[in-house]
Amino acid sequence: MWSMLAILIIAAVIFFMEFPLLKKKKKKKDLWFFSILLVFFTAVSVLEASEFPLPNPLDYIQGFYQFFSGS
Amino acid sequence: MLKQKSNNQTSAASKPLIPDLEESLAHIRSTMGDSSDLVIRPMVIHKTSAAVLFMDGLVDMNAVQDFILDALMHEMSSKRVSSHQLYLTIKESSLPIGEMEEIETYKELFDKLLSGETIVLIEKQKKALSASTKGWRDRGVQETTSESVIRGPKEAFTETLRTNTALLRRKIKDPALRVEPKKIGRKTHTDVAVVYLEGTAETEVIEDVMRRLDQIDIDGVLEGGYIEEFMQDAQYSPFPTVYNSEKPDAIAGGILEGRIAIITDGTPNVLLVPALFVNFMQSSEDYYQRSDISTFIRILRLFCFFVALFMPSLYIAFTTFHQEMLPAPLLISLAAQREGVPFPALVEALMMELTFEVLREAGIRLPKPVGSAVSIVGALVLGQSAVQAGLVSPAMVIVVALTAISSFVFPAYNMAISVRILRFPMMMLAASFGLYGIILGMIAMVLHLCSLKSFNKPYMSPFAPFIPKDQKDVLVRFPHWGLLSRPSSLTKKDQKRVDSTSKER
Amino acid sequence: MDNQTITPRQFMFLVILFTVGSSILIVPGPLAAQAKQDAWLSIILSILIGLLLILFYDHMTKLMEGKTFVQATIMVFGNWFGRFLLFFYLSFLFILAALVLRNIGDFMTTEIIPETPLQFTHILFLIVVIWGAYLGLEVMGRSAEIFMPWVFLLLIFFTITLVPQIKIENLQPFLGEGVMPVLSTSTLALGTPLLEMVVFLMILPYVKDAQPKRKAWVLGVLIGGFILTVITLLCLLVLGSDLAALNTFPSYRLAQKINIAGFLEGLEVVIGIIWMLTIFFKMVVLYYCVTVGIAQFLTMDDHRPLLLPLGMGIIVLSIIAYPDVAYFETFVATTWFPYALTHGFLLPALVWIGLLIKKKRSG
Repeated sequence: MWSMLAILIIAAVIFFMEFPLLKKKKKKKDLWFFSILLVFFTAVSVLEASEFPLPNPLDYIQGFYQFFSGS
Repeated sequence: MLKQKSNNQTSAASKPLIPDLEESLAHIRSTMGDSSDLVIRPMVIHKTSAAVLFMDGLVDMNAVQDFILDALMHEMSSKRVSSHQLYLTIKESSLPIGEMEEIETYKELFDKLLSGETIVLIEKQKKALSASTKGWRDRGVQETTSESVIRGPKEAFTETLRTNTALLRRKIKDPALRVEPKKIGRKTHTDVAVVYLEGTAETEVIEDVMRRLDQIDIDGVLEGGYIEEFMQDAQYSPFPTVYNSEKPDAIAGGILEGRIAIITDGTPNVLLVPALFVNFMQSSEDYYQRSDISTFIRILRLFCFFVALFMPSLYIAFTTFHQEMLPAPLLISLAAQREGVPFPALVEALMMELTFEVLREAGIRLPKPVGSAVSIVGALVLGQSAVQAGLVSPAMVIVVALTAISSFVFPAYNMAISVRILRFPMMMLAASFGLYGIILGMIAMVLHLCSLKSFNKPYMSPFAPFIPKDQKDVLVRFPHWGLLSRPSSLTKKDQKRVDSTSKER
Repeated sequence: MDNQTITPRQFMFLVILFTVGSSILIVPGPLAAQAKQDAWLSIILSILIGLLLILFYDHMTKLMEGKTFVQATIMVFGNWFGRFLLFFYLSFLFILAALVLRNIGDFMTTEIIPETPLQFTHILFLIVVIWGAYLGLEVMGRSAEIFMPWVFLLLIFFTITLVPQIKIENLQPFLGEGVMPVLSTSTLALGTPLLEMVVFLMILPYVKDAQPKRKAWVLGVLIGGFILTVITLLCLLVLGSDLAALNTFPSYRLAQKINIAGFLEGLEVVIGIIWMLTIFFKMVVLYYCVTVGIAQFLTMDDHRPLLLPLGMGIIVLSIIAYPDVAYFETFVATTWFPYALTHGFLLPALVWIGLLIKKKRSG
């Protein structure tokens, strides 16, 4: 619970650190990409903090190469 | 609204002089609001009325008496002339004063009058004369109090700009030494002089200094620190990027390295830019002592830098996180000392460090005889009794004392302050992450240092970027016959310093 | 990205630190497990192969004409297919960065600060890394110049103090298991750190002066490889291959053996500091390149806004990447080499061919 709250606060702090700068420089595209990535990774972090079993990319990589080496 | 007002004021002040003497004097009186230190001496020279104006206390009374009043009232030829003729005669032949200027507006008039010159106004003239009669009491050139040395000149700058430029001229008797005047401060009109060696200092840096000085718009400048904060590159850094010293020899040495000095009237501390990290670790005395001694002292200073910065945090880290890494006998004795101490190591360290900072501050503010009493009470009694009362461990007292002594080693006071400040975040990191936190704190500090610039010169040069040629005068000081070139991290012009044949025998 | 450049010397230091960082912790163990007393030979072998790889990368930089790998790929393969390839390249760097972060986290929480939770160790480390990547390449290069002498001095000190404990018998029998284990385990050192060098394709355009660039790179890899070889040799000579294979961090265990005249013990902290410094630089180079790469992938003007959001992602990935050390060890032993080969060699080779064809056509 506390960790989730902390993550949200951190995400908000990050947002308000970068937002005024990007807004001032009128970089709309940068602002969009930044916001999308921030929302995505905040969501991932919150899921991780709530002990939701996230998929591990290393499993897929391992599976992929094992498929090739034929074992 | 405010801006408009100040515009009005300037336009009113730059109004041309009124030819009618009575009206003109009335205008001056009303602008100055009948100040008691304004002296107006009306007189009649061959039936033409005139007036001599000066500020009491800012002028040298003897000069005014002997060379202006005397000359005007006694020694003028008695032939009657027109008012214009009279003006020309006074201007060209009858005032035996070195520096003399014509003025046309009230702005100029007040500028001159208030900086201690004597104004001569003549009926029906659109111009007035101002004679330089500046002279007020100052402290005189005295021995330096804040940067004492064992060997080397002991004189220090004073509060008077002219004296300070003269002190520099006496060290560098080269026609290329430039002293460029500036006035900063809407209300204080403080005189500032930029001093450098033409042909040695880099033109870009000079222009940068001038531009930054011109940008300053402030009501008053009372000390060089005002200017320093406007000019420094790193506004939010604990590290200083402008060097200051009150020793003429240190400043002259800097000017010879192609740096630029900024003298502020009323300040005995002269600023020097660009300033690199290594400059704060060096003292002018390094160049007067023999080179092996200076090298040793410089390395010692760097060592003290680390001790002052990391000692308390290392103590915290080792006593709370890494006991197993200490040799067993040391660990046992430390543990025995900390046995009765009721606080965790961080609190203990913070308490002692803060106490020490308070003591140091108190020692500076108090008059000298009382100051030493405070240091005895503080250092001996407090330390001793804190240990006896079981509030802190003796090891902690040793650590604090060591840190304090180490931070006194730096020749530059402003660098010592930044180390004192950075010690506290380091202690916090040590208390929460142990050695790991200290190392990361150190990495972050080095990253920050490497990102700093002083007037476009990398702050950490000649270490990063590494300049092999400049290493001769950084940690090691070569003998003077080996310092062949100027530090290229400061200037790339006029590199030659010593002729390589000058040590043949 | 921000018109910062570094000198060839700074680049060389970054290469050395990159080669040593994290591989010094994780490579000697598995190497000793498979190649036994000949592990040092496989490192030398892989460095030699690695040099060919470096020459290939260098040739490629010339063809890229001042563009970074991301920009060049988009130029060659167009907006869609180029980005498709880059997705894999960038994800490789991203995963690598997360794994390196986990390495330092594992090392710290097992050896130096066992009380601190893994997440906080990672967060603190990453904050400093982000700070470095935020300040840019120039600052990274300069800091490498500041730290390099310390790393060298401490390493020399470390080596000298261990010399009295060397047992030459530990290296015998020479090639006792035959040549095969040496050959097969050299892939391990090739995967970490040599194929990871592909990350420098993002930095190379920002290195000043074309000519000493290759020299700096080759020299950097040689010095870094020499350090790796010396440390592995010391692990074998002092600990013996069995003990070295048993430890997760044999080079740290090695440091615990230091004992000067019976009173200077516990100097492993010093070694911990070197490892931290080298891993920091590996991590900051990786992280800088990942963010710059993603920024160029998305055609953004500045990589800095991405630093913090991506940091959250890296922390999560570094925590979930593997549940225990055993999983990681199998991953490194079986999957890492083909994975690194695909992204460190095959993918650049594809772009290289594209660049060649493009050059032929235009010239």
